[in-house]
Amino acid sequence: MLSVEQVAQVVSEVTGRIIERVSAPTLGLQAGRARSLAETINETLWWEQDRLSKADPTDEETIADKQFYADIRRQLPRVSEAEQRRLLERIVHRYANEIAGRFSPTFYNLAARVGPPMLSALLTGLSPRRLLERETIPRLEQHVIIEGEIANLGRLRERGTLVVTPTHSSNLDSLVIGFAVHALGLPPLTYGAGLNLFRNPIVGKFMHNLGAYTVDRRKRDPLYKQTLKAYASVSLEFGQDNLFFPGGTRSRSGAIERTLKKGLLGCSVSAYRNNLIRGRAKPDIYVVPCTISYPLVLEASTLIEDWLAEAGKSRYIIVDDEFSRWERWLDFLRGIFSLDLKIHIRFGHALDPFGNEVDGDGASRDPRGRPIDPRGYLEVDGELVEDPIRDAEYTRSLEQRILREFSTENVVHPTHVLAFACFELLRRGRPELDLYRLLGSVGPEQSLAMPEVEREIVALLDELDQRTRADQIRLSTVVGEAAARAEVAELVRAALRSFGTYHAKAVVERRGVRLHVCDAKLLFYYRNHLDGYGLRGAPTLVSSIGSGGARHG
Amino acid sequence: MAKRDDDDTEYELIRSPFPMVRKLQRTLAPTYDGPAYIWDIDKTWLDTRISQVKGMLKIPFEFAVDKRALPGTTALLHALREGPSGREHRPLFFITASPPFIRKAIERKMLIDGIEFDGITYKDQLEVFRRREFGSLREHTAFKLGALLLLARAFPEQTRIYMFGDDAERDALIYSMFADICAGRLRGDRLIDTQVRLGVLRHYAQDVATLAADLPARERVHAIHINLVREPDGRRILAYDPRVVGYPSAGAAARLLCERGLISARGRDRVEGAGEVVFGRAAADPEGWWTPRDKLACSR
Repeated sequence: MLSVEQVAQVVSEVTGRIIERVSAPTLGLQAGRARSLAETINETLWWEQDRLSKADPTDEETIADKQFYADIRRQLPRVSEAEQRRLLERIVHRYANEIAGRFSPTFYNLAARVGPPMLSALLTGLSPRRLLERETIPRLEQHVIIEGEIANLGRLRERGTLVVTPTHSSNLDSLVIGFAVHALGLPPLTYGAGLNLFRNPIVGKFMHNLGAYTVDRRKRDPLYKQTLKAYASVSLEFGQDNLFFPGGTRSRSGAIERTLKKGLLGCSVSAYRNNLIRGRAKPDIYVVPCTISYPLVLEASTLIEDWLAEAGKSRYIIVDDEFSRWERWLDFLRGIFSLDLKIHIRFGHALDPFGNEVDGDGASRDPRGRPIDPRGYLEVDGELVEDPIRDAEYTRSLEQRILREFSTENVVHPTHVLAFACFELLRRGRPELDLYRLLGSVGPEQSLAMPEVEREIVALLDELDQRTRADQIRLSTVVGEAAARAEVAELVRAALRSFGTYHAKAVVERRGVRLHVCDAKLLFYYRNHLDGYGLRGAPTLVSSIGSGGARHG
Repeated sequence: MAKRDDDDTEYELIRSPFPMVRKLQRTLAPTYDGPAYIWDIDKTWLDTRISQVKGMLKIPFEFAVDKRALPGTTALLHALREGPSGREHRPLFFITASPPFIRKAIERKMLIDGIEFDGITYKDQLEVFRRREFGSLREHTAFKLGALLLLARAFPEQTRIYMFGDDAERDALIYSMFADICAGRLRGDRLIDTQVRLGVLRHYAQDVATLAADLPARERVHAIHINLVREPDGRRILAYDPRVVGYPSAGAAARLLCERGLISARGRDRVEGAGEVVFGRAAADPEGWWTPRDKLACSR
């Protein structure tokens, strides 16, 4: 992890790079003409004024920002071009400083050593009886299963810089990945975390001291976005392993990402190119896709409400979800422990920045397994050349490859199977209804006969089993055993247990020999984990339009 | 007789023949002639001591995750529910003297353990307390007989009833009385007097007898299974005939139930527990009585 001095160097490098880019006449082109520095500054002033007009006027940061920009605005009309450059530097430096994370090795070691057992004790010891009787406390590692292509990660880390790119469904993801990385013996990753996460006092404290850098999604200023990308890229060039959530934000629908944000992803190409140009000893960048599969998702209710309300854009930053409420955290984590649920983290094949698989020695391989030199992707006549259009194409190839890994490394839990089966039966029973009407029509007064649901699950498991054999998807232990034996009772029990324990209202509830869907939206959310695989002839129900993460086509 | 509990529409508040709270979630088809299982909870499924003052005092400090099932019993309940084919949903009902205010913890424990039940009846201890009938707080005969009779009325006549209790209390006796009530052997004054001899308040005993009077006479109970928690050698059931079976562990019960075709071999193998079942040693009564003669109020 970068030291305080190195972070200062990164900030300085980022500022210099942005100023150079904005000042360069060819790169500052807009509508066929070069933009002046004043125009760029004015654009920032406009975007920031717009943001600050909506912010809490009593907030200290807002007051400081207003003063800063008032000062810039006052000076701008009177200064020379050289002074404008200095004003711009001040803005970019302020952005970069705000973004930069800090890392405390002491805090990290403390968190890594004490955190998991403390968390386990807290979560299982909340029962007074357990506290009094000092029962054995389950350990966090019993509930986080780390699997997949993990054997070579250590060696790749020694040969280059890692960019871990997980699926994103919960704000817990960064903590879970942090735990996994530590458990694998890898150095800590830096990652961009939404400013809203820092508002949770304890989580914020962790994030500030464990190397997270800040992403303020309220800032729409293109200059801010450039600074953010440059920060990620430069930190990679400094050899800092990174964690990118390429979906951009948490999946609102519950589906696995099928489109990615290419901005941050493209940093791996630019960092690799810059490393080669600067002749760095270890120029390679390895992109490591991984999936995080939860049987229950902490923020599921808010996320699916948001998706269904089609308010994803306006509520891009959700600050009032379950993540901000401690009691929901405790409910969720206690559920994980008391129900013996497993969170699966599956690492896929490591890739180079162009989407080629890399072997254990870090060498890129073409689709036929032949070694290739990735440097060749960036050369024209033997010279390393920057070409944004070409690089964007490379990033698209990388995106496709990551998405394929997401799809094949997706782990299916009993909750997903039961939700999919119930939803399919409901959907087939009312083919005339569109999605919204279908969801509106389902209430706890309606029910499905358990034998009917079990038959549907048996058929679904048969298809899942075939796909698992073809390496197209992964099954959790309970689902795998159910598929192998064609016995669904334990799977249904596990799913009902999960569905009835954490959420404020049970998603599905058994009453006698019938299953009642008590929360159709959450049923849809968990069902979507299997969306797009064409299982049981089901259509893809989650569209790919718009921002806000996983909206599938 | 019954009214809805305003707090939770799933539950019925029943005041006669005894104060109880009941949730019924399944209606059996009128032609159903298969088995139905009726289980006690305290000491039969869960390792709790609701019947003891100490156990009652512990309740507020116990969460669902704290409750421990007796070894193998959860797997046995799964096996019974799944039946010999492994894919059935055989009727399963619970009757417990636990008070309704712990119903959430009990039903949450059932959810956690995957116990699929079709109905559950709690003894309304608060109502008994409110009536100042303190002697009835720990005396469960009228409550259990009343709850059993209400279930029997809800079952189709051909249903074969299998009962599970423990030897910590009078389950063997109460279940035997219930079997005889169903068969029409124990009704009227004899039923009232027998209950009173056991410590039941006369007005409850009368209400139970009134309820029993309407039940068509038929042999419904097919076996009584008693978990031997107090006397593992089974001495508490020796006075009954061989239809009453004592089991020292869930595994021992599972082996017998598998032999009798009620659970699958796979279900049996998942149930832990050693030891052998003990059958009642009394000679079979020529009139079919389950209840030992000396427990009845007057001679037959």
